Amino acid sequence: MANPLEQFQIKRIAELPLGGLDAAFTNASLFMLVALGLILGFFWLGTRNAGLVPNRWQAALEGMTGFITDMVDQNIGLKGRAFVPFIFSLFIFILFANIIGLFPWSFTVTSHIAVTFAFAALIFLICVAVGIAKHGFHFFSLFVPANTPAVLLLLIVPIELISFLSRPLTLSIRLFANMTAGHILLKVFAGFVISLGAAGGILAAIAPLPFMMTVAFYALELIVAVVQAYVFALLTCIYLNDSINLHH
Amino acid sequence: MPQFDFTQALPQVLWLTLVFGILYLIVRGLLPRVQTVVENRRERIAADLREAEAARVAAEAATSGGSSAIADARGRALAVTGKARDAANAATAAKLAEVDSSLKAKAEAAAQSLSAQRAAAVAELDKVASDATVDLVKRVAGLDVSNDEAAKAVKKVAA
Repeated sequence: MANPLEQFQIKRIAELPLGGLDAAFTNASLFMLVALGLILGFFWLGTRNAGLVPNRWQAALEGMTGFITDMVDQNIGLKGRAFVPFIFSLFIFILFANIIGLFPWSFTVTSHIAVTFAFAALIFLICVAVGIAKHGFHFFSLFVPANTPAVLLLLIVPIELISFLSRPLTLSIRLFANMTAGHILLKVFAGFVISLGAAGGILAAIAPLPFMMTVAFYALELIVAVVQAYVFALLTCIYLNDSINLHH
Repeated sequence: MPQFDFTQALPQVLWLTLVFGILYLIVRGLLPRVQTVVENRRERIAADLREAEAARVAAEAATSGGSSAIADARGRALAVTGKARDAANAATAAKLAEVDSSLKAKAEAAAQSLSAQRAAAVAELDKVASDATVDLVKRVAGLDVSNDEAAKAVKKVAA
């Protein structure tokens, strides 16, 4: 049976030392470009012949931008409008990367913690920068919930601090773990189909069972791909809301 | 797990920075255009709805004006027919009264002439009776009575 972890292997396609930094063009880079290309194609289809009465691609694109804009409005308010392009970029990139990863022989960019943590760290830094830029030193009142007795503060403040600092970890691990686990599961069940079929006899007769499981898991993984992109964008909104509006 | 081979992390992060940076810049340019189209559509729909509402209000006003005109006309028609009916009634009543009085006059005249004839007939009857008395007396008693005496006797008996 094929190693279910093999699909996550980074394959270096071309070495590219960039001023001493390792910027090798890998299969991950390739599929990031594929995602970018497909997203730009989607944008092109969605904005070409844009009319008062939207065509299908236009309706799809406008539906997505409207969805993210509404999400930002609901979670942050009108002050969050400046972050709509950022959150929309996050959402559509993760969505396309997740779905592209479901095609056979493709590579799932978002199944790598290097990528998800880079996103999460960027979001964390933006949250801190926006919070300090908007509220200055007062931003740290985020860790001191209003109307808390002084004695409890000794306990609450470290908890709040830890929960704030763990945000980039949970954000990155959630996406990475979802993608990795789903793909391993698909690979394992698909591998069963092959090994049972190859075993012959009575074992070959039950090979359709893991095949049906694979189909069911594939549908589930499609949902996960969309939901995780949504969750990532939604949590980004919620974290940004803490920085922008500060209320607990 | 290849994910925890962090020697491969740097190229991924560098390429991600490049790709996501390009995507972000494009989205920044694209989103306002998409939002403008959506906004234009929303305004157009709102304007159309306002226009439709105004047209509806105007139509409603026109209908209520029409119905008040109809009520007016009905009132006028009722007044006209009522007047005509009253006039006709009055004319009928006048005619009836006229006919009534003329009939009454005729009836009275007829009654008068009837009673006059009756009186004449009664007077004639007296004469016939006195003549018959004269005859009767002549034949039964062989007496000649004058007509005057007979008439007196008849009157006496009849009274």
